[in-house]
Amino acid sequence: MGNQPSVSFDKNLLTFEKWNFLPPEIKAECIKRMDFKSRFLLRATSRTERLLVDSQHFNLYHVRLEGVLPYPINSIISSGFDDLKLTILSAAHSQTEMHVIFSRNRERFFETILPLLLFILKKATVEELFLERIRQSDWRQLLGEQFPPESLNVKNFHGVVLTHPETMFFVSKLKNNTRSVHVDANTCQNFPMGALLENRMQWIALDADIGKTFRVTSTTHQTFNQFSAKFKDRIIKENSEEIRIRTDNPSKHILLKLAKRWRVSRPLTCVVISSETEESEFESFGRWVTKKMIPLWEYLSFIFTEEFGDEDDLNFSSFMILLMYCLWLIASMLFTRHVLRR
Amino acid sequence: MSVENAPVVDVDEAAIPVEKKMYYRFESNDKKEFRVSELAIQQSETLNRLVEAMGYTSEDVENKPAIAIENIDGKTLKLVFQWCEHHKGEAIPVDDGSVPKIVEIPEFDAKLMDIDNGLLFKLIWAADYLNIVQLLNVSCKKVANMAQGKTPAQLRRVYLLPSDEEDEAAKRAAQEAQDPRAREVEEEFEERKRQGGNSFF
Repeated sequence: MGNQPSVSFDKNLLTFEKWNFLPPEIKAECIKRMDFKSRFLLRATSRTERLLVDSQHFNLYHVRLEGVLPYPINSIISSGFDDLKLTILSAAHSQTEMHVIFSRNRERFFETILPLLLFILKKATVEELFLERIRQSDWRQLLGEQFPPESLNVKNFHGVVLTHPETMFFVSKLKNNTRSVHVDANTCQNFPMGALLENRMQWIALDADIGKTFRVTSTTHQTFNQFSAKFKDRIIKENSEEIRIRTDNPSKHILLKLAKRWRVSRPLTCVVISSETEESEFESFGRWVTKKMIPLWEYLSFIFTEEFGDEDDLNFSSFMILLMYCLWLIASMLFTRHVLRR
Repeated sequence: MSVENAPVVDVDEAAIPVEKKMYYRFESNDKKEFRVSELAIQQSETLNRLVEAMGYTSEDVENKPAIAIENIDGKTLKLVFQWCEHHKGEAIPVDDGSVPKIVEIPEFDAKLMDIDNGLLFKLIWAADYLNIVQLLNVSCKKVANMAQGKTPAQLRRVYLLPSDEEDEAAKRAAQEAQDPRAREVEEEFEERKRQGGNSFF
């Protein structure tokens, strides 16, 4: 490390040419105080700096990979490599530390977005991670074999319109300290909630903390029935919309609650609650619905059967966006057909 | 032996008439002496432990030789003690393990660290050696801030980072310098290759 390359200096560049004389532990102290972007770019300078950066874990508040199409269009048309946006927020309420990177094509995704995402998933503890399905792609292949089970340090995971195998893949990779998992299982006819809790997430065996949440949208009632059958010896209360079971810890119960309002895919909330929690306290659990997780027919059902609710991000403007987009699609199809005929 | 009149004792004695303040004397490796208040010394875990272990009284401080700090020169030690005096009594930050570490550089510290890189390097080194957590915090933050908004190419210039190839070449050179026989063996190998022989061993 001692040799110094001959480089021409930018006069305005503030330099610290003594860097290479600092011992690795002090270099590491400096890196710990770098912002996320500097840390990532320092990795690209040399093998030595990369090793130093990679030797440290760090925290990120929010990481979201999503399509650039506005909601609710991207709930209907999943995004491809050419229209993705990666948003990284280092700390809560700190817009100065926000990074937005667009992927305009496949090369950009594989050269920039994916390596960055892999670096984050390997080295960071992420408070909120949102990952969306990518058209004609599979997250299992994208992430490959690089992540052993229970290796992702994510506190709150949101899988947006992921396929069922992708959902199960992420659930298996999340560490046990994950506080909440929000996924949709619209592609799964038989989401194994009971088996998931017992085998993979091990809420009962590990005496999971109160507030630990797993939320899933499912198109069938099978999940609900399965859960009931799986934990029939533990059931305290059961009706058509909720099941409450006891755990090995007398102070904790697990509640499975189906969304109160009728939907095509009724969201299920599974949450660890205190055994003293009154029913009225979890009334709101059933109202949950995620953004971008509802299929078109369900979205339209809101227009005819439900009032728009801000908490769901469903409002008149989002409906107008959808309507305009449909009109634009029809117009562009007609125009294309007209041009082809000529 | 010169006594550095760094503003390490600029305390209004009249303000605290009852309690007599305790000071310690330290000497840098270039024989410069400093008087530092007991409260300021608490910012340095290393020095604090040292003076506690010595158990000096006020008379001892005056009568015995100054405590020698062999590894740090007077110029650096003056900055260190100026910093300690300014921040005396402040709570020492506890490392909660979170990264990135959020560090704000106060105005006083920014002015104190408005120094050349050689001195900044020594200051970081001294903060680490004397275990002054907050001084290490701000000095490392100053170095970290230099990376902000830079491209990898600019970062190479900022920190004068050698490329992987240059790094490899340097390592090879260092190895060869350490073991001249290795170079001879390599030259012999190259010579045999040129002659067409492939049975070196």
